[in-house]
Amino acid sequence: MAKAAIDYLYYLRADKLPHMWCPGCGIGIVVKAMIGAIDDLGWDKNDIAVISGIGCTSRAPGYLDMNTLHTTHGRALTFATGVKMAQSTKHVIVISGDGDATAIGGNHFIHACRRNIDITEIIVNNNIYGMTGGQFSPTTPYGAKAATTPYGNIDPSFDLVELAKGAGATYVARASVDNGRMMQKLLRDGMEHHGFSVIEVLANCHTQFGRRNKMSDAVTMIDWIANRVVAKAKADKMTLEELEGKVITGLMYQNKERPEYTDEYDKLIERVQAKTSAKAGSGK
Amino acid sequence: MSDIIRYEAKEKDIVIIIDRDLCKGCDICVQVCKQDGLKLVDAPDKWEGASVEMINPELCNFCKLCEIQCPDFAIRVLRKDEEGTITIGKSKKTSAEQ
Amino acid sequence: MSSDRSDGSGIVFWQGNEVVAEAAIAAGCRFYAGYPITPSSEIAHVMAERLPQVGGKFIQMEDEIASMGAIIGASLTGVKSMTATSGPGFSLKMENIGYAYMAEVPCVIVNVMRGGPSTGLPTAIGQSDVQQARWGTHGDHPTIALAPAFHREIYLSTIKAFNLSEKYRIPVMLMLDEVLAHMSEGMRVPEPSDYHLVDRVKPSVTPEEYFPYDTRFGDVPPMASYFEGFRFHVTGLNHTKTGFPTTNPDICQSEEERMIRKVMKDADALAEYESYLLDDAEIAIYAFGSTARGARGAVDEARKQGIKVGLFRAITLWPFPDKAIYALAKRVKAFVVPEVNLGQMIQEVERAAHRDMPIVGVNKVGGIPIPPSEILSKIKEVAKNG
Repeated sequence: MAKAAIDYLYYLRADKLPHMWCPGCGIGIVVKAMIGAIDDLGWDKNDIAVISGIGCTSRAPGYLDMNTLHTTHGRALTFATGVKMAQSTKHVIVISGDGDATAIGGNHFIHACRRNIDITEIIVNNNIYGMTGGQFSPTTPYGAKAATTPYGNIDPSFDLVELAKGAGATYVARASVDNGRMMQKLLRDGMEHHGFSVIEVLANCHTQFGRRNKMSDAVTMIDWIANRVVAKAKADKMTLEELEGKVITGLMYQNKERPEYTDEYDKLIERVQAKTSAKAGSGK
Repeated sequence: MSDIIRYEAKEKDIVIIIDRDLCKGCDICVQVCKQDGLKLVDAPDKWEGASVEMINPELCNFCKLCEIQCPDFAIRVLRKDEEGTITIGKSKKTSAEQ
Repeated sequence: MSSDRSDGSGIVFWQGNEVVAEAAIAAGCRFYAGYPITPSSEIAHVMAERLPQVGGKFIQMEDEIASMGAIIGASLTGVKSMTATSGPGFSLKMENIGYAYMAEVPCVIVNVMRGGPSTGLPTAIGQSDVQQARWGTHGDHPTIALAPAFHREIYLSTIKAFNLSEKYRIPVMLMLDEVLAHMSEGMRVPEPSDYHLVDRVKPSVTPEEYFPYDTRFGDVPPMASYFEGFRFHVTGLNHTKTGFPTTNPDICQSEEERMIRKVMKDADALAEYESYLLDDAEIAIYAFGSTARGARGAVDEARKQGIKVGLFRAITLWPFPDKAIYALAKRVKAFVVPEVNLGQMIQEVERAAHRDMPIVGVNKVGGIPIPPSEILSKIKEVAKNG
């Protein structure tokens, strides 16, 4: 039997719609996939915190009818770590843009990966700082034009999947906005994963990135993304030459063995308290 | 009142709902529809100047790509009996459970 | 008492930093996030040891900024939270401290002051972050900063810092200096009957009727916690009572005014100080923290030499005791303001005195406490010129 239709507006603060993003902005597709994933998992929206930093993507929590926190630039994961440490049975999701998560928030990102704390981080990678006016980010491709790279970008860019893996994240996936169905599945599995999950979503900012790089409307830019991505299963059968210029999407890495951080702390509390009460019991 | 357009493909038990309050006329759904069932039309009443409409609901094959890829929660593709189970319109709750 | 670090006699010989940590536990602090920095690190050491014993959580974050973010996050879930730092770390925390003001999130920030600017004198005393405590973060905001001077007072001030943060929904600063932090002195640990604990006011309305910045109940809105069914939104942007962003000039104006008013309407009551031999004084010393201990010695010595001098020992740095200093300025002929900086609180004394009178500083920034003899010399100089 097919699943019942998702009641998107049940999870949204419907009175805040339509949202602020440009027509065709990929962030809306990501928020929809997030809701689909949450609905599929059957999570109670009272038990979910959605936390963001600053930027276009970081406006997402405001539209979600959950416990929502719009923090400072780059710092979403720090607030999220506090929330998760204090209430480790609840679900904590961070949604960030590429600049927010990996430039100003880069240090927090690698350390959240290293701790393997049970937070799901969605990085909406549109290769640009959208809200501040189209400056290049750590994921802007070499040679691309941005407000601060008028002669083409000479900065090498991050591979977020490799970065997350290397830093210790235990669920790492890459999705793209041209395939909302696949994104929803990857988000769902990432949210379900017990540990730090990173899902990079390749997204379109035709307004700030596309306009400067000959893709000034949503459809053109989403097509550009669609033509670059190759699903992992297919990519595994391709040669290196065939993969030249392509980006692989799908589940890139998962490790279910590494201990989760708040579990470790709970065990520590148990250990310490057992010791303390044994000491108290033995008298002074 | 919400500005809703409701289409029904009677033979196929499909209902398509377009919320014109939410549609920004971005053209994504038109492009993803493999049946060429949607089109953008001028919408002088909207800030974006365009909005989506269905050419013919009977073309719909229930792939839901338009719904999934719409960034604005503006289009729903439902079985007829699902219609009463979800919230439709900006702030109007029609769901039985709510 | 079995799990704390006293021997059961009730008398302890702790460092100031240890006092802060034990008092925080007593105040109900159950989350601490920090980053190593001298001379505040021992607070983290004790919190790491003690929090799991009481079911709380400690985390060493990747930097100072992260520590500040983490305590705000934890506090939003209803858990009393604290961080501790020193000069450079205090600077790094400033953006998120501003967030806590704007979002009205209770939390406590301890700053054990060292010499500086910059890396300065990491292991030596300073009192040069007192204006930073007031104005370090951008934008307008009220400030509550406490500066106790001896260990029992550090204990009670730590509890008070939590209480005030809960009461007013703001970050509260506890300003120690390196000497107090690393000095051990005998202290009877205050019993729970010696203090009271304050918890934030929770909403009395249903989630449907709840707004996170609802002023129907006064200037300090009742505060729900995350995961309790209220599903509210928190942002650092200017916002309406709903918690959602606004650029409406009237709302921005009135909300920013309210956030200052909620504290400053109680400014006189908040401005705690100790008067020592001020009744007949002709010269008043304004001092705080460990410097006030030396100043008291100088007052005693000057009195022996027949100089009518008294000590105004500020326990609250901010809000500044404007009215008390103004009243005092009418009675005395001069102020002496010793502080381990090049003249920070003296500006406030001058402002509040609002009178053309000698107001002279004794200022040391070499990483050593101000010797009582130097304060005495200044008292004598002022007495002679007066």
